[in-house]
Amino acid sequence: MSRLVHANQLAYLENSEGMIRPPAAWPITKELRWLLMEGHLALFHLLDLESISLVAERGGRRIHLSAPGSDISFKVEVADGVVELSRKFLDDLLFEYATVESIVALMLDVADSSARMRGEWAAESPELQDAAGAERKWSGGRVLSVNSIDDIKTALATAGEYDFVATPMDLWDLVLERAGGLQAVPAALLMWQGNDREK
Amino acid sequence: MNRLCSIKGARDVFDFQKFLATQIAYAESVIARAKADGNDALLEKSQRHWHMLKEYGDSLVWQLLHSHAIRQLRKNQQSVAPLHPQSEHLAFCLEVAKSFSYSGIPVLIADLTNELRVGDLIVAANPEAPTLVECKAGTYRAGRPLKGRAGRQLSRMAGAVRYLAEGKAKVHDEPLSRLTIESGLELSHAWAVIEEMGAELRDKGFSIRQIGEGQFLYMDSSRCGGWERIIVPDDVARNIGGYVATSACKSACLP
Repeated sequence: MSRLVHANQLAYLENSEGMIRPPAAWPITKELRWLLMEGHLALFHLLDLESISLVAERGGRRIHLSAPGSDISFKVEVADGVVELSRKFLDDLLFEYATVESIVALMLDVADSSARMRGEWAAESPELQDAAGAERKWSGGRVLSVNSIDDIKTALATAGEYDFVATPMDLWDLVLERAGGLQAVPAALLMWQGNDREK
Repeated sequence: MNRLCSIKGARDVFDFQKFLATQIAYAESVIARAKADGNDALLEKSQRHWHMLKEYGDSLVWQLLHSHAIRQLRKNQQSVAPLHPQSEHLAFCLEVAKSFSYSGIPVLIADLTNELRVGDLIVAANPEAPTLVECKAGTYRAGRPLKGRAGRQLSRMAGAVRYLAEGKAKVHDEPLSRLTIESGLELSHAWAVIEEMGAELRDKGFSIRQIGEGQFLYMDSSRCGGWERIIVPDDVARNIGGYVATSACKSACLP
């Protein structure tokens, strides 16, 4: 029994809220990108969802689809149970034009890895869950305020110890210069228009 | 499109976004005027244009960031504010973005996209683990805690950054920690087939291909609302017969 879904890039472009690559960024010729992006061409994708289960079965594995009429999701049978996968895989199929065969291989690989990690996760669970619980309340973050060259040195020496580095705009060029590139700069930056030193 | 295709470096990325910001702000002013005048036709047209401009912003995002990073940076329900009422904020964001770009580091401006909902600027030096920048008016005073609504936004930003950099992190307000699962497998995409279909379309007026098990592409130059509204030629119907014949859209698809 077939279970068809279909999609086209026009409907997506006109209604989407993102997370699908627009045709202007597809790895195809510029002319075709433009025609598809501006809606001069329509590209329809017809997919029989059952083919996902079928391809998995050929390899001796089982992937179950959610019931017709409900949101589409996938359950993959693994050695010690079932792993549920999100509809990201369907988006990859329909809008990234991945082939069913390659998606099924990926789904099985991810499900197996997930099951393995679930075991490892459970083993160290108490500590991790405690940590997660403790972090649920936001305490205001660990902020390093950069207001001098010494602060910049500290920021670079202690990267990873802070949630944010707060820096006024006028010091930024200096931070970049001292960092010798961005890799050494801590990841989240608060860029302030004003400068504390003026006060 | 030409501007997007001619981007070669960080400065071009900035110049493209500066142009896009001007266009989006103008589209927003047209939308406001159409609403005030009760001009529904103009409103619909300008809203579509506004949306498409942001799609071009998204196209740049997809060129500079990995899809996993994009997925993480859109996990935020924050609504999208129009550009023109916050023009001072945008001007500051542009100033900071220019500083990065002119140092050779590409930067994305979140407000010019549909995709990016975390942070004001996304510094794309590393496509998989970008640096996030929040631009703030006023002055940060050391020791002042980042709390309240703004603090919660920042906490999500810190969580997303840590997760992308380390592959595991707790993000504020999410009950479970995020964990990355990496696979060594590569997806096989049909981009080359789509290219061939574009060439075939010029000769035949349509093109159809099977790209996988139970998986078909159909390209034409009509503006149908969906597959079910296409009147499929006979040979095409035969190609996909096994599926069409057993589906609910049989009567709609077959001539």
